[in-house]
Amino acid sequence: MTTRGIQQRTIDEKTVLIVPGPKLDNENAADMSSAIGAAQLEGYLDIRIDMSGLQMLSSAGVGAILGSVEISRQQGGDITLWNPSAKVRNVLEILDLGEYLSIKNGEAAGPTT
Amino acid sequence: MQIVRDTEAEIRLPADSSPGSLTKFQSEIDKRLSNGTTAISINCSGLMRVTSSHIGTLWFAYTKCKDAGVNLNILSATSNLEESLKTADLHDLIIPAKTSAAKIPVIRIQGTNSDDLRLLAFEFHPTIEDINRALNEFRDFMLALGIDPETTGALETMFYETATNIREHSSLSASDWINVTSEVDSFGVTVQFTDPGERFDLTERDSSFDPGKAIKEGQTRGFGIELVKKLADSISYMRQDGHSNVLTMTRYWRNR
Repeated sequence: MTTRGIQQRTIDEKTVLIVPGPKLDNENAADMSSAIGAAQLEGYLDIRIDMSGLQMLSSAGVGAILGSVEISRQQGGDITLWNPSAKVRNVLEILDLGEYLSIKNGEAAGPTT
Repeated sequence: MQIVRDTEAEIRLPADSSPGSLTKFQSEIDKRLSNGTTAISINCSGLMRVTSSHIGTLWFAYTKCKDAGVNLNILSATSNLEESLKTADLHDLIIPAKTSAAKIPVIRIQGTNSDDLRLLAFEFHPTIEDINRALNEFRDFMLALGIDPETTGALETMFYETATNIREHSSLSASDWINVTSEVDSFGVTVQFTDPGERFDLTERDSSFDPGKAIKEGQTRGFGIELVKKLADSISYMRQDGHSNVLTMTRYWRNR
């Protein structure tokens, strides 16, 4: 499924992969928020955001993710950011979010561990 | 020093609607999208005779850009093209009114006698589309000067978040102009935004950001000002003549 450059793919019954386009900003932050919300409603506990192709993360994009993390954690799951570029990681670190968010490198579409 | 640019950022829709020309055009769109561009501008100025292939090609560009979340700007659409798009009921999709009105009129990148100073000055409307275009211009300016990726990334974020805050908080109309000047010298990069909106002093905004609390409470807004304040090494605000906001930010070199 694709919405404004945001693609969503099921990996297994608990895991979904969400892939934003090259940017996550005011134009598509609401779409990202909706994609995450829909995945949470569908019961996915392991929500993976593949950031390998993301070149620009704005404050609106940060908000779309941050606003949803606690919901997943309360459900017993999490939202994990996979393979952010140095530039995107820098935005997260400037906001001191590095230690509060789950960030991983590797095969985002890999099996649940 | 003088850097001549802008036209290379645009793709010209060929007047010649032969399959070869249009296939080449479509390949160029695909290439830019795969390179991760954030906006594509198509210059249609030479299109006097419009064929169904032209319309099909623009539809191709529109759907590709939409799927990729990339802005599509149609520049210098001829009246024939506009009419053909209206007939096909595609005009408002491919050339929405706000995009038609939102063109950055003049981009000037001029050097001075000193090799240590580079200047950029331009204006744009406070719309999401124009902010993205302006960001592209600003990014191209920094790339042309060979500014390192870390500084470029920081400045892009400062630029985008400041422009977005002006758009959201200064009560400007879509026809107002935000003026930007940027100077690059031996100390760093200074960017100054001037807008005719209501008083909005970004430096006065609360900056007590708690990331743990933000996650716990599901905070979705308010990160932009925090980003700007942390990325700028110096930042100042002035209300000019009672009717303009002037925000000046400097990011010093770290890698020189």
